[in-house]
Amino acid sequence: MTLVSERSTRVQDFLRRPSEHAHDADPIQIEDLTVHFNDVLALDHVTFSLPGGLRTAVIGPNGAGKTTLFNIIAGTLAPGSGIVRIYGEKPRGHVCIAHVPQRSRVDWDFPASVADVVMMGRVRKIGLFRLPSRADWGYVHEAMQRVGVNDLQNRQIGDLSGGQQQRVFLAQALAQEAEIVLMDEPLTGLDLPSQEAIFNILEDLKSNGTTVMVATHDISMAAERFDHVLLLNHRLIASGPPAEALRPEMLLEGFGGHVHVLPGDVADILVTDDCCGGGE
Amino acid sequence: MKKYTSIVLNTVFLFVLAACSAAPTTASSSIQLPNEPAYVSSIAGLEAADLNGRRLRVVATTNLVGDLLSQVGGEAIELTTLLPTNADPHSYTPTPQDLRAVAEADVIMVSGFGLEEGLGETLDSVGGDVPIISLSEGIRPRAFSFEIAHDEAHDADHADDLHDEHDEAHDADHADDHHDEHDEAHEAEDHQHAHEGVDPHVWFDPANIERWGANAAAALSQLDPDQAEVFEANHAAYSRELDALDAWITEQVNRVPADARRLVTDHGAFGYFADRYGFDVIGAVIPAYSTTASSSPQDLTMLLEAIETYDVQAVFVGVSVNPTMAERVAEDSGVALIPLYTGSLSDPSGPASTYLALMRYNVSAIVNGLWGER
Amino acid sequence: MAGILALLVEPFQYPFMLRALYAALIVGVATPVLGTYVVLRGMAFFGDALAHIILPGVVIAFLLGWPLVVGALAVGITAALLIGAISKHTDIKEDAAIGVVFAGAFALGVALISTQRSYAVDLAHILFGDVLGVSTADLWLMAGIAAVVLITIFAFYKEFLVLSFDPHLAATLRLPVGFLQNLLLVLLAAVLVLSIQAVGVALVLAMLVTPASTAYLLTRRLPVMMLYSAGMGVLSAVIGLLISFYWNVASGPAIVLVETAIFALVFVLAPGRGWLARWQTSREQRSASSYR
Repeated sequence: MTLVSERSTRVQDFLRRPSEHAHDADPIQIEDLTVHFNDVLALDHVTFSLPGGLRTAVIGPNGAGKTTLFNIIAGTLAPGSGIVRIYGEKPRGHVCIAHVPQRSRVDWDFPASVADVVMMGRVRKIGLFRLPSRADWGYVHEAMQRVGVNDLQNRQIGDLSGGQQQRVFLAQALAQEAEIVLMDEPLTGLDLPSQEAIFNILEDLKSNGTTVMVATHDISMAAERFDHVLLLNHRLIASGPPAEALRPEMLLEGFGGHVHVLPGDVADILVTDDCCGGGE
Repeated sequence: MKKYTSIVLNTVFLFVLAACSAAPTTASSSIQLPNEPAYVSSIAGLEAADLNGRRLRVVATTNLVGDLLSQVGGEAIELTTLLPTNADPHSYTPTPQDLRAVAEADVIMVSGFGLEEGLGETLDSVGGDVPIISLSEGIRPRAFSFEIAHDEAHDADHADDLHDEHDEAHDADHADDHHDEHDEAHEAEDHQHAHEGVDPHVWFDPANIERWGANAAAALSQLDPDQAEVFEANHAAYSRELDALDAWITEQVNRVPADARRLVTDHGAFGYFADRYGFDVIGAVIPAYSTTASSSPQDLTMLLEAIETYDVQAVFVGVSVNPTMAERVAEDSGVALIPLYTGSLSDPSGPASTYLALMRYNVSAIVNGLWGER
Repeated sequence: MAGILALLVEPFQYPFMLRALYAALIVGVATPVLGTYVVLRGMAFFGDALAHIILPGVVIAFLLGWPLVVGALAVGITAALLIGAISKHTDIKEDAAIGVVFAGAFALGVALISTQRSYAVDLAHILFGDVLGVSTADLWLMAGIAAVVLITIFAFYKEFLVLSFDPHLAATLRLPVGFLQNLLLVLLAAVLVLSIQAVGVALVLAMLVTPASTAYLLTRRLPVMMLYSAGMGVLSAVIGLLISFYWNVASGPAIVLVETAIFALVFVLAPGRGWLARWQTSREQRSASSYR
């Protein structure tokens, strides 16, 4: 019953046409972003810019501000200070950003089928007082097809496996025609085949030019599978290709006491002592 | 825990609503009067109050009691009446100011036969040693259960039998016989709709008010012997007015033929009037002696049938009672809804500001309602 | 068979029973449908609180001669905003904030009633309903309100769906979350005003929550859940009134008892999700594993 965020969408925003995408603007452009939560500094003068089509991993310990950053980008949280631009415009004017929540945050008991959840992505496209059209169903079916949940379309979302659940939300993002997809710890608790399936979809998204940002704990996976890494611990510690951003000294700075370097024969081994928590 | 809060709040509230006060009563008099709650003492047991020159402080519950006491006591007493006009005596809850007057009173006078319901218990516990007197002491109470005329409704032949039986009932000695005959006739029937209790609405028979006057004069005289002559004189004067009233009522009532004297009321308030003046109470929206009861669907269906069978012209409803159900009944059966003053006098500027005015108003309304200008 | 049919139909030849039936049907359709949202979003306590909060609104409206719905809505919305403000600006959690406003408002209503020395506002009827005393004019108003509620739910169906599933998703998709929450609140206040007439403040929670909870045991498709809720509401209304008529039980409580009985029945017997089914499944699982 409480308002879900610091700023809920206002009726004017709802009625206004979605913002145009400025031609040569980066999809995500953040400058000096600072956010406070009850006197706690969640994000501290964060600055970075992401060109289109990039697959970015956002790495950091629990409570580092990853989810806060995603909320800012998605437009569901207002920045304290700083500039946030999506394709040159403020986030709240856009309807093309998808924010896939952590699986633990979803109400899986809600009476909805896979198709129902995917169709939710199109609620703005369908428009007020209208029922979904044939075209809308087309988008939904195509989305379900692309992520491979088509034969699950009438299944209750609570009856799905972890991997299937994640894919449903990706389908929702596709149905939404999202150009930016933000994912919060999508691979936690998934077995390897399921993780592979997700990555295949991310490949598919990339080939469409969709910008993807994934918050994760898994440093080695980030190093292998992502084009770009943001190392975040309230401050932006590093932003760059994995080889650059994930150097040991960067990690030490980013993870503070959570990381230990063990010198080894072949290479130094990095050990983190917090893993797979609930995220913030 | 959330839902428990709700349950607890509702339960607590229900207790407050249902029992104005469940406080234990203090033992007042040794003699238990018939048909009266335990807190009522007898007039005979009253002792003279220690007044030291001040006037006797009398608290009356209903304003009918207050009206009577102002007639008999006049300026010689300091009278406080608890119920304001238009309040319902069955469900009245006293205010702190009321209770202050009660605590300081020399005597509390109630209408009697349990009319005051929950209020009486409160008066007893707040009043402490103050004697509580029932003005209805010595009055013979009416029948013990209220039934809507129904068996006869299904058989038109019985309509005359009922009428004959009622003629006999006008003689007070036969009141019990009448009741017994009814009981036997209905014994085989299912009595789910019968409502129990003594009928406390004694004031609709002026003879009972005469008795009230006598009781009041006796009680006041014992409490304040110096003023005894004043009280007696007032009582005598008022008796003459009551006689005149009785004569007038009889004259009015005789304009209505015997078979048209049928009353449908909102609750069982007119029993004594019916007995005295030859009326038949066909039924009531709430077939009980208290307005705090509610109408069940069975009660309502029987009432509607009775109205139709007896070709009733009007439903009479007390002005201090919620008229919603009575309105529905009147609308559904196409009869008129006529307001009467049942439990309470009207405002001083209204048509029923004294007992005499109230009876005149009610009788005119009844006679006109049943028989019009004919 | 004809005898049973006659028994079922007989009470409703009386106009007051027929009106009671219409009132109960109107309430039995509109309230459970809105109740599905209440159940899915965990708003049961809030719904009960709102019913009590509405009391002073109804009393004040009555004393001022305004339509009761206006008073109810005005107070209901004010209270909801107040609750939101309390939980937003202090550390007090939402359920306590609700409790504060709930009890205070209800006390205000009762206090106001106690100042009225006549029957003017009949507290017993407000608490327990007065379905037998419903007039034809009342019925038209109730039908109108119910129609508006149902049409609104239908019109904003997909928006309410997203909002109920995940308010954060709704915000991300740029739905007007604040407006929709408030709209839902207004609809809730409206059905409460309807239901108070039939079953009273004390029991209105049942109309809101019980049929919808029963439906939830039977289906996991939202439109079907709404249909089942309305169906249970209607069934309970009819059976409850029949019981009230033949056994001389107060109508409001009779309807609620039937709803509760139906819930109990479904709880035990529902295929798949019912208690009996789960017990059987676990038995089969245990006996299967014992063969290893």
